[in-house]
This record gives sequence, structure tokens and C-alpha cells, in this order.
Amino acid sequence: MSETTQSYTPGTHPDLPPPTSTVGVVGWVRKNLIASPLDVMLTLLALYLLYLIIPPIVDWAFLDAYWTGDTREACAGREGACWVFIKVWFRQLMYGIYPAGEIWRINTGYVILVLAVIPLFIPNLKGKRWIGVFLLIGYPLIALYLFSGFSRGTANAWPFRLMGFSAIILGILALLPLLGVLRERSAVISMVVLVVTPILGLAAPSTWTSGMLRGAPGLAIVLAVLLLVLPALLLAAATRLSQWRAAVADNFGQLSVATAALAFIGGALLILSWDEVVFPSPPWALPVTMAMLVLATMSPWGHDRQAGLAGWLARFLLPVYLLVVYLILVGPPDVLNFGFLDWRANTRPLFTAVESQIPLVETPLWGGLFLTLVISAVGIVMSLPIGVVLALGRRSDMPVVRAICVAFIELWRGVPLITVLFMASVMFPLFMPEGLTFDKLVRALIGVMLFSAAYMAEVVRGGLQAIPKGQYEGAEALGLSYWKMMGLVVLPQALKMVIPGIVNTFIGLFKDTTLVLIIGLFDFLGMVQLAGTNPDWLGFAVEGYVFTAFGFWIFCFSMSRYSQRLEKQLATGYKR
Amino acid sequence: MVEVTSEGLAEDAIRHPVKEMIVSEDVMIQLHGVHKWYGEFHVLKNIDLTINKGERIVICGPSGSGKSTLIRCINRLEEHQQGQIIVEGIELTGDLKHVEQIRREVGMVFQHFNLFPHLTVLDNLTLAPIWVRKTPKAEAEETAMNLLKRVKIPEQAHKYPGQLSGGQQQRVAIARALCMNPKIMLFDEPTSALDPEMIKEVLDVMVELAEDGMTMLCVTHEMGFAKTVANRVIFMDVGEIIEQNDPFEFFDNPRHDRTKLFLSQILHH
Repeated sequence: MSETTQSYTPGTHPDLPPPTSTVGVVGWVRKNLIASPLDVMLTLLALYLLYLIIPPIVDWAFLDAYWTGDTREACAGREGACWVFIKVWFRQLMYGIYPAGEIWRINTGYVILVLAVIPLFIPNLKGKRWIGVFLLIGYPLIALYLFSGFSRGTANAWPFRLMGFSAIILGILALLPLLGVLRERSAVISMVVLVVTPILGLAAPSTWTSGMLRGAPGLAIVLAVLLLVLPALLLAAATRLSQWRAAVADNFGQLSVATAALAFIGGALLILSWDEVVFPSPPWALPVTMAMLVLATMSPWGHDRQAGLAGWLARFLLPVYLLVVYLILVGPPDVLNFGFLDWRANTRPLFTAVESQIPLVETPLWGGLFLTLVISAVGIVMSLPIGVVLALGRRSDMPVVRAICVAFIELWRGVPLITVLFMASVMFPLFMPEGLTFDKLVRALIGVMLFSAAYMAEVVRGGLQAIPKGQYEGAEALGLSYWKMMGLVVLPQALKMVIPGIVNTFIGLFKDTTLVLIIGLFDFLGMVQLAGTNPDWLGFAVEGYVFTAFGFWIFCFSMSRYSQRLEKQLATGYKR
Repeated sequence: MVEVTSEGLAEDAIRHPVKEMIVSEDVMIQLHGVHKWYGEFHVLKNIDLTINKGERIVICGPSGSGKSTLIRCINRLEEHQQGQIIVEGIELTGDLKHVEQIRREVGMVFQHFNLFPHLTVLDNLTLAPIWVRKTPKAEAEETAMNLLKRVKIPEQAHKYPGQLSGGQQQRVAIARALCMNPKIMLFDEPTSALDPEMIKEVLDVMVELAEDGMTMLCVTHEMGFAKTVANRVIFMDVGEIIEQNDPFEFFDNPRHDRTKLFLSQILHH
């Protein structure tokens, strides 16, 4: 203490260390635990409570627990936890009733995921974008085929599914620039049409199977008429007649691409839900599909140099894709099916080889932690983009778009997830046309995804509201279009701001997946309950739930830590 | 209220050395009979204005007079309900294509800078050229660095806006607007949020810009700037253009009582 009594001339006082009793562990204890008599009493009380709680838990869970053995008898006494129960049931808890010989496929899927994700944690690595593309597009396809496998007897199944998924993705990519058109009020009605037609595309086959318009080419024609003629008519109704011709001519290019894109999204959804695709091919199918090809190739928008990658896709890939899908669905005309060109005969050995190595495992057999991860991963990954779109739609100036988004959000937020799952699994099939069945897991996934998207929409909307209007104005004044402004300026800031809310929703979703027990899917918690009610293993429910809680806690805590790390990383520019 | 049109004034505005720049007869902006309402509130009343290429216009007036609203209508940050606004021959209507065309040619600088805090200074500048004009990245970065040199802060290129002072941020904002190579620059009270020491550095940049022949429309309270650079000073009050004149006439011989009152209040210090 004597240092402070020494005097120095002004400007020469040295930097001294603080007194030892105020820093370090000693300082912390003095300040926080024993600063006043009340503090001392509270500290003693806390120590006593810890003494009461912790040793018994440690005794039960570790010291007196049973770790070795294979049967119930190994846990003869009842003093400690019977971890033998968990050990014996471990495979079922992790994988459900997936066939034991095929579990290598699930493990391979996990390993690929981990290997793909690790590079994302290396700072300053180039090409992370491509890893992201792989994780969002390639990995789901690989995982789908690894986990579900291929069924015998339908040799054509997996090409169809591949075509189906890629059709959806290409279709969406081709549609993106069209959204620029949607900003014009007169084109709002077109958007309504675009939303309604895929639904019609799903319903079309059953109502038209006995009519003239059969099969995927027929469906494509119906959609083309709906997408070109109907919007043109509606544009006429919405705009002054003198502007109509200009509006149609302006938008024709985009609308024709939308035709091609949506025809195949509609067709693709058909493909995904039908195992056997047997379409009789009317004689005019080939020329008509050719005509659609030509139409899509000539789309003026695709030739616009400003259109970039999506324009390139529209010009080349989409027409080629149309042709290839047509050939696979319907087969080339018989005149082309000879010798080494006989594509069905030549591809059959390949299909059979793949089938025998990776046989089909139906989704009711999926379960345990594996099922929890599948449902929450799909829910998490899909709910964020859908939620962002809904949030933007809710804040839009266009009344129709806003109304649709508000209705969607309020509907899906207003009902419990149990109800959604129940409706999806029991009621949904009643409304579907004959012959169109969705896998139960797929229905649950869609329900979870849309439910979570509605929550996410509100979280994102909170972030959007917090961005000052000046940011929107600064971006607009530079000439950025709506989607560029959102994607480059507003959303990066908004999403960064609501990371706590987003991760909160993710963690909640992860735990809500346990509700799929209601529809007969046995996820992690479901399997633990199943194991606990097994006649040979009654009475060990506590161990089961403790293990489940621990498992969930590991995942949720990891998500939470990762989000904190992400927030620290992204908090650039706000510090001076 | 007297309707004063610009043709008679442009020629005799050339008294100050800076203003010896040739003001061409190309019309850049025309406003005919523009009215705007915010709900029931009539904020712009019958605005008629013509701005030629190379002109530097300063708009002044009390707060609430509609000056900011007027210039924000020119790049469609606000919509006018009646009348015509024509920028470089393109009429401003609800047609988004026209609006986007106009916004490419008109740059704007805001009172509160509106820089994007999540991007570095260089990224702020190159964002619009890359995504709107589709300029290749290297070329955009070169233009950006040249502009940063022009506003005298090239060393700040890799910092974030939050790390810069107010004067530096506003200069970055000016450079960002210039990166799009606009024909017209709009300034909405660019120095009103700055400390006095920093006002000079921003005004210097604006004076240089004027000397290079940029068409400028500036809402400001800096009357020194008006005297140095402006061809024309417009006084607005309660949504109307009360008076327009070249700066010397405007400050020495104001014609309207409201103008006289306003000048007496702001020229005191």
C-alpha cells in the first residue's frame, strides 16, 4: 500500500500493477463470494446444496452403475444405473430397425457428411461455395439413394428419381429471373397462376387418364396453355389494352421459359411419387415435345446477354433436358431402338448390379437417432429459405403476395405440430387422387418443413424490420433490383442480426421431431420408449430417458456453441 | 407566387470563375406540374423545374419545405401522384425498367451516408458496378481505387465503414455513387450530420466534382458552397418553389418576403 503514497511530478507517474487482493482468483473470490455477510451465507448455502445433489448423482450414474453384461441379470441389484440396457439396445437406438447388414450405408452417409463439412471450418479456404453446392444438392441425392436403396423389379426407378430432382432444381433456377417480372403489379396475377399450376399438375393425371391428353407430354401441354394463354389473358384484364401487347411481348420470353420449367416440375413430382412409370405414347407426343423444345430454345430472354448463368441454362440445358426426360419416360421411337442403341437392354445390367448391392430399405424401418437427424436436417435446411421467402412476401407491397404469405404463416403457426403430423399422415391421403401415394416419412417431412418455415418467417421478419430504411434506399439509389438488394444488402445484415432467433428455432425443431411418434415413426425418443416397454427390460425407463436427454443435449449444445462462434466471426464492421 | 423558369437565368449565372464551365442546352431533368401527397398532406405543390447538363443547383429552405422529397422523387425513392418527371428523356412512371434505367444514371448521396456496414469500403464501391452494370471484378476494383484516390482516402479501402470517421464515410459514399458513372448527382443534406471539421473535406470533394462538369442537385444549408459553385439557388417553402436565381442575385437581392426572412435567419452566424 505504500506505493500509492509516493508522489511523482505531473506527467511522470508510471503504470503500476493493481493490488494483488483485487485481481486473479483471490480477487474474484473476494469480490463475488465473500464480499459481505449475506454473500458468505449464500455461498455456504450453495455449497451445501451442491453437496446434497452432486454426490448422489455421481454415485448413481458412474460409481454404482453396471456397465458390463448382456442380459437383465447383469444389473442384479437396483442401486446404480443399468447402462447395460443402453448397451444392448444401442444399435436400435441409433438406427431403428434398419437391417443390420445395411447399417454400413448409414455410417457411410455420416462419414461423407463429416468429411464435407470439415473444410468449411478451415478459414480462408477457396471454393467453399462449391462445398456448399455439393452439400445442398449433391449430398441429399447421394444420401437418399444410400439410405433408401433401389427396389428390385423397377429397373427404371432411380433414373426417374434423379431426373425428378434435377428437374425441380433446374426449373427453379430457370424461374429465378422471372421473379423480376413479378414486381410489376400487372404480373401479380401471373404469380398466382404459377403457384396453382404445379398443384394442378399433381392432380392432372387422375382426371385425365382416360382423355386425349395422357402422360407427361400431355401434362406439359396443359401447363403450357395455362402458363402462356392464361397469364396473357389476365394481363389483358389487368392492364390497359394499349399496354397489353407490349406487356405480353416483354414478358413472353420469361413466360415461355416458365412453361418449360414448370411443365417439368409438375412432371417431376409425378415421377417421384410413382414407382412404375408406364405412359402410353400417343403418336403426336414426339412432335409436340419437339415444338416445346424449340419454343424454349428460342426464348428471347435466354439470349439476353444480361441473363447470365440462368439464361444459359434456359437456352441450352433446359431444352436438352426436355429431350432426355422425354426419351427416358416414353422411350425413343421404336425405329431408333436397335443394336447398341437399344438403351433399355444396355442399361439393365447396370441397374441390376446396383440393385443387388444397395437393396431397398423402406422408410418404416428407419428409426432411432438416424431418423431424428434425417427429419431435423431436412426441416432445418428447408425451413430457412422458405421462411426467408415468406418473410419477404409478408413485407411486400403487392397485396396478393402479402395475403398469401400472411395466410400461410398464420395457418401453419396456429396449429400444433402434432395436428400437422396427424393431418399429414391420416387426412392427406384421403384428398389425394387414386394411385398417388406419398411415403409416410415424406409427408411428415413436408409437414415439419412447412411448420418450421412459418416460425422462421417471423424470426426473419424481425430482422428485416430492424434494418434501417436508409439501407434499402442506399441500395435502390445504386440501381439494385429488388432481389439483388435483398440478397446483397438487406438479408446478409438481417440474418446476421437474428442468428440467436434462427438457431433457437432450429434447436426447437430438433427437439420437436420427437412428435413423429404420433404417426408411427420411431425416432430417438420413440425407440427408447419402445425399448423401455419391452417385456424383458421393464423398469429401466430412467436410464433410457437420461440417455435420451444426454443425446439431445449434446446436439443442441453443439448447435448453440456453433452459433456463438458464427456470431463472433460475423460481427465485422460494427466495431470501431 | 411567381413562376420563374430557368432559361433566362442560365446565361447570366457565369460570374464566378468556377462557373465559367459551359452549361449546355441539353436538358437533363424536367419536372412539369409535379404534385405529391403523403396521405392527406400536400407536400409538393405544382413544381416546375428544368435542369440542364452541367448545371449545379442548390435547393434551400426551412425544414418541412419538401426539398428532400423533391430530389427523392427524381430517382423514385418517393412517388409523385400528379405531374411529369422526365430524366434524360425517360419518363418516371411505375414502370420498373424505366426506374432502374434512371437509377443507373443518377447517383445519390444521403445525409446519413447509408453505407453497407457488413462490407468493406472497396466492396461497398464495387457492389453496384459488378451486379448492376456487370463489370468484371478487376475492372470495378480499379475504378473504385481511382475514385478513392480522388476523394483522398485510398488507404481505407479494406476497412469497414464502422471504422471510419463521419467525413471519411461521406466521402466513401460520394465515391460509391460515382463508381456507377452517373450523369447526375443528387445530394440530400450531405454535410448536415458531420462535425464542423469534417464539413470542409466533404465540400472540397463536391467542389472538385462540380469543376469536372457534373450536373449536381444539392439540398444543403451550406451557403458558402452555394456561392462558390452553384449556377442557381432555389428557395422552397411549404412545398412550393418560391424563388430561383443565380447566387449573387439570390443572396443580395431576394425578391420575396419569405426568402428575405429565411436569409436573415440563416446568414446571422
